[in-house]
This record gives sequence, C-alpha cells and structure tokens, in this order.
Amino acid sequence: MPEPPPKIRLTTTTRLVLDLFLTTSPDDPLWGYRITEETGLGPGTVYPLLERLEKAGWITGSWETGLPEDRPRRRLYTLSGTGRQEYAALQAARARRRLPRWGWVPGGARH
Amino acid sequence: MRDKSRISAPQPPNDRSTDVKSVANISIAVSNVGSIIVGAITLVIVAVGRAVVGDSVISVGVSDGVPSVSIGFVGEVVVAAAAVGVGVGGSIIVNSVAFMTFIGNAVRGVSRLRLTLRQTRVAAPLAVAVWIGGRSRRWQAEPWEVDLTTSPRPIRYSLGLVVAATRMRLYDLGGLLVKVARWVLASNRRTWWPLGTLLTLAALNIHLSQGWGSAFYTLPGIVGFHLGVEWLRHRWGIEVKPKPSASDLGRDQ
Repeated sequence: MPEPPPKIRLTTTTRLVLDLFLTTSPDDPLWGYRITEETGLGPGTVYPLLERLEKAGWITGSWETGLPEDRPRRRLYTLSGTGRQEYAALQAARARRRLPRWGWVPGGARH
Repeated sequence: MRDKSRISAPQPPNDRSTDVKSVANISIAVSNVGSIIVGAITLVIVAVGRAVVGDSVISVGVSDGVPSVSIGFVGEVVVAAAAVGVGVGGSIIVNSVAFMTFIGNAVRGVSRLRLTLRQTRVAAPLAVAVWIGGRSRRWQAEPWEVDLTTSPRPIRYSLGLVVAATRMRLYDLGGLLVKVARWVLASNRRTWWPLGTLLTLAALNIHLSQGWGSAFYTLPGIVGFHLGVEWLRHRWGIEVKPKPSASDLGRDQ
C-alpha cells in the first residue's frame, strides 16, 4: 500500500509560511533560515513543516546552485502549482465554514 | 537577512559530501558513546557480582578418596557472567576503535569547515539533531549547517534544530501508529477479535466483581466503541473488504 501524502492542516503557522511563499516571487526562493527570519517562527516549527509540505507536494525543494566556496549548499523551496491550488481551496473552505448557517440578511432572502 | 551571493552565475555544484559525512560521523560517534556506556554498566554489574561471590566459586576437595573439583551453582553463574564480560569487553574494544575513528573524522571535518571555537559549541547540538533526525534525514545536515552559520544566534538556532529533529521523529512515530491503525481497521476480523475479547473480558470482570446490574452498563461502552470504529473508518476513508461468501469460494473452484 503506497504511503498517502501527509494531510496539511491550516494552522496559524502553516498559513504564515504559505502566505510568505505566496508573496515571494518564484525567482526568489526561500530557505529555512530566511523563513524563520521573515515569519518570526523558530526552526523547531519551520523545518518539520517544510518537510511535511514537501512530502505533500505543496512546495518543491531544490539545491542551491552557483554557491560560494566558503559554505555548504542551501535547500531552496518554492510553492508548487499543487500547493497553490490546495491552499486556495482550503482557504475557501475555511471561509465558508466561518459563515453562520442561519443569520439575519439585510433586505431579506432574495431566492 | 538575505544572502545575495546565491544569485551568482550557475556553476557546477561543489562536492560537499565530505562536510556532510563529517557531521554524520559526529552523530554516529554520539550513538557509539551510548553503546559504550551501556557496555560499561554491564561490565560493572558483572564485576560487582564477582566481588560479592568471592572464593566460593570453585571448591576443591576429596570425595570417596578421589580428589575432585566442583563448580557450584554460584560458580556457574560467575562463569556465565565472565563470558558475558568477555563479550562486552570485546564489544567495548570494537566500539572504542570505531569511536576513535569517528572522532578523528569528525575533528578533520570540523577543521575542514573552518569552524571557530565559538562555532564548535553549536556543532554538537547540530550533530545531535542529525542523529535524532535519523538516517533518512542525514542529507539535511548540509542545509541545517549553512542556516546555522548564517544565524546571528547559532546556539539558540542549533537547539531549535534539535527540537525540529525531535518533532520530525515524533511525526514519523505518529505516522507509523496511524499506518498500523489503518491496517487493523481495514479488516473486521483484525478490529473486532482483539477489541471484542477485551470488551467481553471487561464486562465479565465487572459482572464477577459487581454483578449483572453493573455489567449491563458496559453495553453503552460497547456501542460507543462500535460507533468510534465506524467514525474512524469513515474519517480515514477506509473501506472494509467484504468477507468472501461460500458461493464466491465455490465459483473460484
């Protein structure tokens, strides 16, 4: 039985990281330390999340090219098309859930 | 803080495997220290046992006019303990050689990475993090290392990496448990034989200790378990394979 991809839940930390990916250009990929700096999250939170997102196919990881001689390579991440779609779908579902089922609509129902 | 150096013209990637190996070697060395400690504790236990037993190990005497040497029960235990001691001692020697090799490699790796004295303080937590992360995550030593050296608070960052590796392993463990649970729930036999036995025993126990009246109240619990199992199957999208009927089996033949 093939292992199913991990299920991504839209927690606050997940949204923070995914929003950062959305606001970043694909030509300007992110890496672990930069994500911790820009979101204010700790490495203990960011790296496990990046691993899950990569396993789920939401982000794509690649090794840095054109690296300087004095340090090892970075692992760069970009938001994949799947990730973009899934995130948008989950956000829409979340927004729907937030609407009250019964409530007063100004002007009354029009259907 | 952004490092613009990575936007330079593409070049063939350098072989950083030696650096990664050095960090991985440190992590292996950490595990070897653990095994040596366990071996040493076993050796101490054996030594203490030998000291307590003292001279009553082997008794030399004359039996029916014939000189004899007898080894009693305590003696046998001591001989067995000595055998264990030799084994443990051997493993300690092997581990020590391996440990010294790994330490040598690690020191060479650290010098290759030109870590300063301040940075070596963060190399240990990094090695621990790589060790906790497991073999499948050894490759992450490289990006973790570069992130660590970029951080203005490397010690704090390295401790964060230890937390990250621990969380990843706990997530792996959770995934394994979920996999086992899915396998159990995929079959009625695997689900209800153990669960049914447990619930029946619980009901019997309550009946024996408190009577039928109290045992009757376990029925909602059984119903609750059934609903819980069905809910979990629905939530995880598990379809139970139908049991093949006798007619199906006859058709196959």
